[in-house]
Amino acid sequence: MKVSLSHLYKSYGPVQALVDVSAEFGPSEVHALLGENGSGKSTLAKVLAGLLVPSAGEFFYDGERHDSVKARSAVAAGVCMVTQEGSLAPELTVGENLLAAELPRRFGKISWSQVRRRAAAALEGFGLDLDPGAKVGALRIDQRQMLEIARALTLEPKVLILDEATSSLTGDQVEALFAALRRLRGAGATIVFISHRLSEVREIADRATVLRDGHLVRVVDDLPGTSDHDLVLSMVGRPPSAFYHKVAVEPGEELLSVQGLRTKRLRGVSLSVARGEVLGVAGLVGSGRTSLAETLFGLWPTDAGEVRVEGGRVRLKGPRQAIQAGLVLVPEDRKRSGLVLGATIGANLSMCRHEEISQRGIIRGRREQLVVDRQFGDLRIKAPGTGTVVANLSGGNQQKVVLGRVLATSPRLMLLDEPARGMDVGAKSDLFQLIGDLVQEGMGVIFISSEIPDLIALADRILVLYEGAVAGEIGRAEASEERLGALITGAHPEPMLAKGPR
Amino acid sequence: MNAQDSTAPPAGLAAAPSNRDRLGHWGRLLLRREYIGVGVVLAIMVVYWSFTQDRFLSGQNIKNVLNTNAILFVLVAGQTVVMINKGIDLSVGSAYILVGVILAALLGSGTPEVLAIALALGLGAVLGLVNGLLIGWLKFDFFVVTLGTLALYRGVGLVYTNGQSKSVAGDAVINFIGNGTILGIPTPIVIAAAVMAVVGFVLRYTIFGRRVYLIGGNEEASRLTGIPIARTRVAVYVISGLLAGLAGIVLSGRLLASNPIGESGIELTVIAAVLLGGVSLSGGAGSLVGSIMGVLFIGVLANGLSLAGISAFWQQIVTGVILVLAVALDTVRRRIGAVKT
Repeated sequence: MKVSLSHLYKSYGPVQALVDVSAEFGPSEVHALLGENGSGKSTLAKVLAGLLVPSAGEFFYDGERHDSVKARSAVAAGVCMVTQEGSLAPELTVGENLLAAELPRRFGKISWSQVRRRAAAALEGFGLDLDPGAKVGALRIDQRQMLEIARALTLEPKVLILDEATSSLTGDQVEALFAALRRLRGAGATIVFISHRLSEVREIADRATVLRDGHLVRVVDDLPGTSDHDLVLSMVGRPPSAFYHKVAVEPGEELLSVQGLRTKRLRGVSLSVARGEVLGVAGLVGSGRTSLAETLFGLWPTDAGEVRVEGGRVRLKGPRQAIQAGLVLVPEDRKRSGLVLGATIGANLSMCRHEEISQRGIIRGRREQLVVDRQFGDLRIKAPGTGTVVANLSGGNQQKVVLGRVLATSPRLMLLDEPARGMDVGAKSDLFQLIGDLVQEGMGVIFISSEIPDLIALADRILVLYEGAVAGEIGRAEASEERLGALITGAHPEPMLAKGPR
Repeated sequence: MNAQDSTAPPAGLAAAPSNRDRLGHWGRLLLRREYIGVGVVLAIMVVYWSFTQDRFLSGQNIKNVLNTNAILFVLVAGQTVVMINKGIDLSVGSAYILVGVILAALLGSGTPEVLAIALALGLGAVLGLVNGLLIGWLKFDFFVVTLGTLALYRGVGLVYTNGQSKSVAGDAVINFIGNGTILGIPTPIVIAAAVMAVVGFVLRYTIFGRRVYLIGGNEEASRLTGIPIARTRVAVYVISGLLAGLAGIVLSGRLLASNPIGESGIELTVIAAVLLGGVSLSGGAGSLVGSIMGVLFIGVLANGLSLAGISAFWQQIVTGVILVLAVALDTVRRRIGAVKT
């Protein structure tokens, strides 16, 4: 079935996730959607599947217009989506989940023998060795993902959307999936395929559409004739941010040294940060970048490794010990784990300094006001006063509150996890300016970001993580969007370029 | 590359004017305080009954209302702390009955009165500590834990006494706590006022109180700033238990007996009062002032109905309706308030 989109827009409040996207996904094709995190791929996929209602734009199935596509009408039209989030019922069996859309019935009562038989047949057809009677909750994550794909396939969809559906699969499973996709394509279905792995895209996709910041930037018709380098450039290719000029700081003595850090998510990470230095950390979601920051802050148990702050060994026991050692974390999701949204700016700013602002457990109002006013003024938080409730601030000002709170502890090293997410250019340039000032005063910074231009603008060195290990480290002088992009997506950086078009 | 990086958004996507701007002065005032809704209804009730019932505003009647609800005030103070911390203590009704039972037993076995009272308070704190350790330290669900201890504490009281009440009429201090006066004011009112003052101070002016709000507002963020979550949460339930113990002593004094089978369901009245006063189940917000209004609402309603000669059974219907209205108001308030300024 042909699916076409015309001038599609989707915005979440002030954030524009899709801007004027027009695209066409033809029958009998596997069409890849490419783009960085936050480029709008998932939003587009969800709109296609009728899970999100677009803000504006038109939508056609086989030339027939749908104004507002709802999930149910999309399913009726034969559109089916598989995500990485998982939508199986863990307490039910494999068979029940597989046939949930239409359980076979006899005289109005579910026929369990038929459920077993049909489920077994469907699983075998997909090459999936699972007991239809097993509970889904007991399956491994990759088996669950396969089951989810198998369920979509039993519906014989006319349009199948796979959003990062291969991220937890093994090589053999991916092959089985691709075989099924080819069969489906042969039957005339449209398949929209989203994956961070360029090698998979090359293997299965016929054409590709590249999104960046919600805009459609390129449609690649000749996928085999386009190099990895070229694709990555389309995905990330902006000129490096011009809004911030880094002031060169001579790095001082070593502040943080990490040797062979291993946890459930990290596979032997080593790094070092000097005074006055910004270490950028790049990587996909799930590459271990957030895990690294949280582990250094003492939130996860470590299996092995050594962490030293200014030469002294530090035990990663918890936030309080980390803060005492001079480490602070600005978490990725400021609403969920950064701010107490219902509390005032003042109460949020003084959270880390309860001992200093009180005497025998009683808050000394004057002392608290001193701490609070200082951060409020230094960071130029735009609000009527420190009594304003944080929920009423803009994203940039909320982030300033989180920063002000950690700065109130006079830290030696800041762990910033996606600090500029959702900020407009003005707020971002304020933030970078502030980080630059702090670094000049001798602070060390670990700066995690998915925005490659931001990393190049702010960091002295950039460490790239891929699947829990260090994939490479690039100095500021040598950093380019293409090189970083290649390391981040796990593509083969230089050799692939040498090979040229196939 | 056919990049088209700058595209103007289509008409109709421009920011809509904030809902807040259309509210006007009174609307904004309503948004500011959680307890404004119940406060307004309370004021209307007071005005109405002071015109229709001449005894309503008499000193004696006001004293009556406060005295009758003194125990409710004490229990509500503890529950307010728990609920701001994003919990619920369903076991307070059972705990305060059990404390009364044990107090009577201690006095019956010849324990000196003051010591018996101290032990009874301590027992209340221990009953709260059990909840606190299970919820704060072992991280069990507060609802299930306190539903369990609600049954457990009540069961222990019943088994221990076999359902028989026991007189404490011969004990002077207990009698004074339940029925005496200080400067003409009934002792239970003085106790309730003192509890309100202390708990109000703790919530507003201490680091502990601040943490009760912050953890209730966002536990994850509090954890990341090094605030001790478990310790604070345990203390919250100990306070609730301690105040339940105090309420149990006042009840013993008022009845001059233990009453193992009485007052079933008071925990629901307590929670209703706290919710009426604007503490939300999502935690982190609300105040003791609101809870006081909640108790006054319930107390004044019952009193007015009885003065007007209307069946007390109506009280539950009105309380139910107002509670749902209060929640509706709170939901609307938050939905409008959520719009960014």
